[in-house]
Amino acid sequence: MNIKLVSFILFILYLSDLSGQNRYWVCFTDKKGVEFNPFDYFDPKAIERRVVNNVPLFDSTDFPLNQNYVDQIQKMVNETGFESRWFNAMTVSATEEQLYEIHKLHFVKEVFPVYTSSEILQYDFDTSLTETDRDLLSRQISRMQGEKFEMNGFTGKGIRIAIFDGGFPTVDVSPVFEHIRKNNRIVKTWDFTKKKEFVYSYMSHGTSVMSCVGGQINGIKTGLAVDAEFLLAKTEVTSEPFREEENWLAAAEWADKNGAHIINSSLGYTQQRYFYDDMDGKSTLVTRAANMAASKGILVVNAAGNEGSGTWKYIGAPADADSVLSVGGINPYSDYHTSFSSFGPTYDKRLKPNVCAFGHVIAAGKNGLHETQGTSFSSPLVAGFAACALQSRPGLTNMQLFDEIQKSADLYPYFDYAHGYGVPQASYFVDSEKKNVNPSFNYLIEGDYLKVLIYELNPEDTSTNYLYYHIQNDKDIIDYYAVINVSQKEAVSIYLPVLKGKKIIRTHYKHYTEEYQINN
Amino acid sequence: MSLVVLSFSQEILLEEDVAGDTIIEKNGPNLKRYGHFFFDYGFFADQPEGDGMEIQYGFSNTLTFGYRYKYKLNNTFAFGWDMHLSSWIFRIKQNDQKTFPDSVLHTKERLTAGNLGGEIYLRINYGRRGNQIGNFIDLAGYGNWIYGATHYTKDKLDNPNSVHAKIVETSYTNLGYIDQYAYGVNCRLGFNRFVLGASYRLSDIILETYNTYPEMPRLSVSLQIGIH
Repeated sequence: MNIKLVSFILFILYLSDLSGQNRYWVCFTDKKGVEFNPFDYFDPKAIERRVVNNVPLFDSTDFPLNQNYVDQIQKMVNETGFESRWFNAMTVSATEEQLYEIHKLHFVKEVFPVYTSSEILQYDFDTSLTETDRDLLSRQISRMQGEKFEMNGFTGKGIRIAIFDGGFPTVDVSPVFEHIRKNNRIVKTWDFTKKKEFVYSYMSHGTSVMSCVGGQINGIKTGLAVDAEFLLAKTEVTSEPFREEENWLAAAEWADKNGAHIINSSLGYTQQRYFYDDMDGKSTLVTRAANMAASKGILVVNAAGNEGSGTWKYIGAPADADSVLSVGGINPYSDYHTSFSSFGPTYDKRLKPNVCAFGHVIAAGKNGLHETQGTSFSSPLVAGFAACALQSRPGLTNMQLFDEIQKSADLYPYFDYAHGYGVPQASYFVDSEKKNVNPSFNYLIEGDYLKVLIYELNPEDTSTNYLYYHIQNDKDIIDYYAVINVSQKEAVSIYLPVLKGKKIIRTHYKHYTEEYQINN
Repeated sequence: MSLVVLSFSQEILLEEDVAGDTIIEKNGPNLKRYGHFFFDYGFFADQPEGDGMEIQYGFSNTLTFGYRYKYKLNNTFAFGWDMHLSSWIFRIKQNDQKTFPDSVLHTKERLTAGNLGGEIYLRINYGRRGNQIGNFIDLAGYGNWIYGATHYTKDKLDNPNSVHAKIVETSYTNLGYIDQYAYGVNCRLGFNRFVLGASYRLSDIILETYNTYPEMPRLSVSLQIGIH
């Protein structure tokens, strides 16, 4: 056999790192003897947020790790990584022999793998847009009634939003963010992948996302929260190593420490590392981290994902987290679910996404405004909305804000696993009087059939003739849902005898929702 | 959910049968069963055994298209089979040492064998993965039926021949010295859809009665792309 060939094969095997080191979480049993002063550690806004959200000023999850334990581990391994206060654990790179010794330590509760794969200026910014794009830019704001927030002075002022993404190139120079820079409202930045402050490079996805939170150019908004403050965290790398979830957790702890009210995470983890049955709101590290962030009083807003037309189809992590406001996407031209937006429910059958927003937007790239698509941009539109809503109701806790955003959505109380409760509406937060909604349809039983009869139909205005309905079973899970474009008064006809085990039919048409209880 | 009967002329914009959709899936890249097509391109990496022939490295290659099926045992082990269609091309160097199949020198000369075959393999997965193929090592044995072999020559003449041609191409088929069957072993190192492979033919494809002929190269290395 050719010796060169043998050498080549051995080289490839070496590269595959079959016998190399891996990264591990080392979890400690306690934090005995650790001292902690919250006023030294937390940013004042973090203290304020805890007070508003009735969250304890601090608890043991905020204490640092026991330094004696950390020092001892450091001496035993080749490399240490992130120290997580929340999970009382640290990451290490270690051999099997080193792990064996670590396991013997009395203060080590558990060791498990973190699987990692073997890891700006003067420039021209193009603001030209076609008429169609200008219309889309205007509507991505007005679809949430953003003008009502602006008229009432709610622009996210005083609200601190952390954005986790793969980079923010030109945010430091782009005119879209000049209004943020000149008032020093980029409070802090950190690159968790390289452990340095500079984040204004790498993937432009983060730039586009941030523009949908609070960008503005020539007086025209690309996002609602133009007066918010920002924390920018780079947590992603192009090659998608498993370490990104560790970075997400680290960024969440950093955002907590630095006073974030809202985290926007236009990120999702699916089939590369998980199965659908992991989307149960408690299995993945990033989901647990997101729930922990919520328990600290932060509203976590996450994209539902873009797997809707793929084999995965469903939401990813951390959009499956119970306390995360997961945002799906609608098509701005059809005004209902856009095909790529991931569907709910979670594996344990909880409602997701929670709300939706445009999934096709005008966003700022590195060199100009451009049309782009993805629930990555639905999420920051809602994050910006949330900042304005919180400014309008400063006493709300994060989960109260979560509930209010759902209730503000234009399909509420109707929901489904494509739209959640619909697109949040600013009028809910700023209008002093709630509009009465008149019934737009009724139910009629004819023999074995339940019929939905529309009162008024305007066949010339097809944009408002969407009827939503779903069938919910006796476990309160939706078994079937649909959106139809109604063109005659007898909109739906359902054969009741086959509905054994089903509990409710719920229908929504022209802002009106009504249920029908199925008698089995 | 066929229980719902819509009135005529309504347009369904979106419809989801959740109860049907959330049935536990058993077919997927890292689920119980999975099948996919693949495409493989490789090169012979050794010379013929015996005297009388040398091949041109880099131009003597293999081309394979196949379908692979995998049955998952656990997160580490899986086994399966494949069926494939392969072409082996041995481009023969034209030099003074050539005696296969004769000593006549040509502008170009090659021996091509078409194979239809199957393989069984054991897969060892390593590293964490979700519902995707992931990283793996395959150890396999294959058997092929050589359905056809062609000896091809091309000659560029300095002067036109008797039929006024300057290029003469000749194909010899139904070669009496080629065995109909071949078998061997494969080893693959895979990174999701990208796979590095090595194949070693254990059997001879030159019939024993033609013992003056060299045996064709046995070892090839290849790059394979899984279509999934």
